[in-house]
Amino acid sequence: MSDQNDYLWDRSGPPDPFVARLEQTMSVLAEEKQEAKVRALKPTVLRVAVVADGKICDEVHQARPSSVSAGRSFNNKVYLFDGHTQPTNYRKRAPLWLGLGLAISFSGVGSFAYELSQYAKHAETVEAERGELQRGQITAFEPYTTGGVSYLGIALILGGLIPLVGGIMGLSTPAPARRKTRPGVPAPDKHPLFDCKDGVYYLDLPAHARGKISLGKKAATLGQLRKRFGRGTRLRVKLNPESKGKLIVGETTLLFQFAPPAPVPKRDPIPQGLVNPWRLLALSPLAAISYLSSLFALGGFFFYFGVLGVPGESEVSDRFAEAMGVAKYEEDDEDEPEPEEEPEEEDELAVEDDEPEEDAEIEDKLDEMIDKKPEKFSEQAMKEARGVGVARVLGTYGGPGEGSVFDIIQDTENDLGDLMADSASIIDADAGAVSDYVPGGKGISAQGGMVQGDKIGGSDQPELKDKTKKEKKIKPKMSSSTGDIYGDVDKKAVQATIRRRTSALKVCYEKALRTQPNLKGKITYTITISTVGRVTKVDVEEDSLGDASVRSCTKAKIKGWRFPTAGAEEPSDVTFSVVYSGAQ
Amino acid sequence: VQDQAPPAGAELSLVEKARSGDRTAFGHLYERYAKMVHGVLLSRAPHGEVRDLAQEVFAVALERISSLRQAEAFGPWLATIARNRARDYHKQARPTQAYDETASSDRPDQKAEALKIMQHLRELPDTYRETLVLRLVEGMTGPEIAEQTGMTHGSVRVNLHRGMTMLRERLEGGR
Repeated sequence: MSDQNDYLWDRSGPPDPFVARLEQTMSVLAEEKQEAKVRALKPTVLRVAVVADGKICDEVHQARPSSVSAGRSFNNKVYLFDGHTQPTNYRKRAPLWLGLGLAISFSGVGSFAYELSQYAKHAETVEAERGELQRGQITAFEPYTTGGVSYLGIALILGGLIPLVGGIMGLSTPAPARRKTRPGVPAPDKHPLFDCKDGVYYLDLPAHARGKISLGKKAATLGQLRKRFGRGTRLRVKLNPESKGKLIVGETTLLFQFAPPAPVPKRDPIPQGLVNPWRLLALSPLAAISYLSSLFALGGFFFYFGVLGVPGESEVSDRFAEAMGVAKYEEDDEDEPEPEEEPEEEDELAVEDDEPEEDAEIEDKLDEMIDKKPEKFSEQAMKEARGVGVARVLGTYGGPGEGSVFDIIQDTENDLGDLMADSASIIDADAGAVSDYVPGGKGISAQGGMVQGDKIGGSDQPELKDKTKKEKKIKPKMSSSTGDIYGDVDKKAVQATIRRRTSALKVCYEKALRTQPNLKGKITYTITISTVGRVTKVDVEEDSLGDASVRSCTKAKIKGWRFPTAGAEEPSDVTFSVVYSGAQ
Repeated sequence: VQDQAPPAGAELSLVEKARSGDRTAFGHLYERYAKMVHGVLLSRAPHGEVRDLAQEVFAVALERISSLRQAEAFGPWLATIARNRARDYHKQARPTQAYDETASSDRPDQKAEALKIMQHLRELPDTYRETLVLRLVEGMTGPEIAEQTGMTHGSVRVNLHRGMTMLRERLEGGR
């Protein structure tokens, strides 16, 4: 019993007869196995060819065992001629077509002639009415104004040509020879010719069938077989894979033989609809054409108007763009390399005042000492200046001290205050004081009043033409002299620096001169230079000028100065005087 | 009870590839598991419907294989889909029609007898019926059944033994 369980488990033991019988019986339900058995029984397939009029007109491949019937038609829609069909005799009806064509054509000619005559009368009437003699200009094919009846004649003529040509061709075709019908019984309507049972083919021949069969090496006619094995009018022959033969049923000839089966196409385990994951994206030809035409149409449109552009349509006048503050795009600038900033900064740093050339050598040495790395120093200063927001500038404007505009701007090594002061000027709304540079027009003056830019606030509308007008320049005259220096700083370097920086104070004096042209005097400053070169304290020792704005302005500027302090170990006090001598 | 035999490494690789969208790998899985799915369906649905149902089962599996979390559970997962599909088939309200399955067979006698045995098989409990169909109809051995359905070897052995005993009684009692 245990061995039988093993067989039931994995077929390892002796077979259990009951289980083995069940296996054999139930295996028919396993579809895969059933097909395998059929293939094993049928290494070859029956191939039947139908011959008509001397040509093989069709072939029937039998991949699976089934019956093949002969008669008026096969089950698989291969039709057989049984001798009653005759070829078409085109000569028979040719005269009829010829006569019909002639009749239609002649009627068309008549209709056309009638229309022509009617048109001629109409043309004469028109001429008589108009009193013109232009008959030569009217042709017969000109459209008749009262209707298009003349076209009917032409249509009839052309339509009549069809049966006319058919009739002529029919008459020229030789009459077909009448087929000889064989006396006797015609092919049956339906008769199982080839029958398959249990994988074996049988040839079931009707009484009137003729032909020859080869069963391997032996060959015999159907008449011989019928005499020997026939049962009445029926003959049934068991075929083997080597069998082949020629059968004549009615007027149809059948050739048959067994052949190796055509390779079975591999069945796709996955339904075809799921094989291609992109099937839903497949485009039909109509959709593809539609998309392509849309692509060309829209793509061309956008390419023309978007990429190429329409010349002359989007032109904006320079004056309008300038008024709106729109930066115009200039293609030429793209190709040009941007000017490097470093040389400019170096130039600015290299700007020197109009001092006599006698100290040129000393200044060169000082410049070399001070500006050992001017590029790096300048970049840092610019970065600090740029880091200041507009809000901070506006909010802290108005006076000296940390965080003021002067403190920020003049903290830069290249004296941006000078540059900005030269670039714009402000008319103070208070009319009493002159404020420093306020970028962007409106702002708050040093006294807390509202100020406006001289261009925007001065008139109702922007006067662009006046924009290039330059304001009258005032050139103040100043000179400086250095007094006592207490400390371990290099005195010559400090003196040279003061001389160089004194020109920066012109801005303060120049603004004061706008409202007080006769303003003159001398201010003596005492500054404290820290060990790192920064001005930590600015005191006014003497002030004969007597202008608070100049005093505060110059103090703020001086506080932004930097001095060389190489080797200094303690702060130094320096006293120097600046003489403001009025305008030149 | 012997533990469940782990799937072969190649099969796990096939499942992984199929999960990543490789249709060829899924085709190999189909060839490997077609008999199991056919047997599971045959134990629950008419023989004439099994082929179509099997196609539907694999179509569903192909659609949802990306959601399969454990590659080694592909066989049991597929068997569950087949059982559910067979259950859905019976839930569908379709007009019944008399259909002689033996008419289309080349061996009508054998098929008639097989269907008769099948009727007795369908009276057995689900677990016995499914295991016996896989063994007798599909020709799978016990270890193969255990591997593909996810059952343990002991369960398969018990199902085969008890199911065969019950079937033998019914067949011998029916004669």
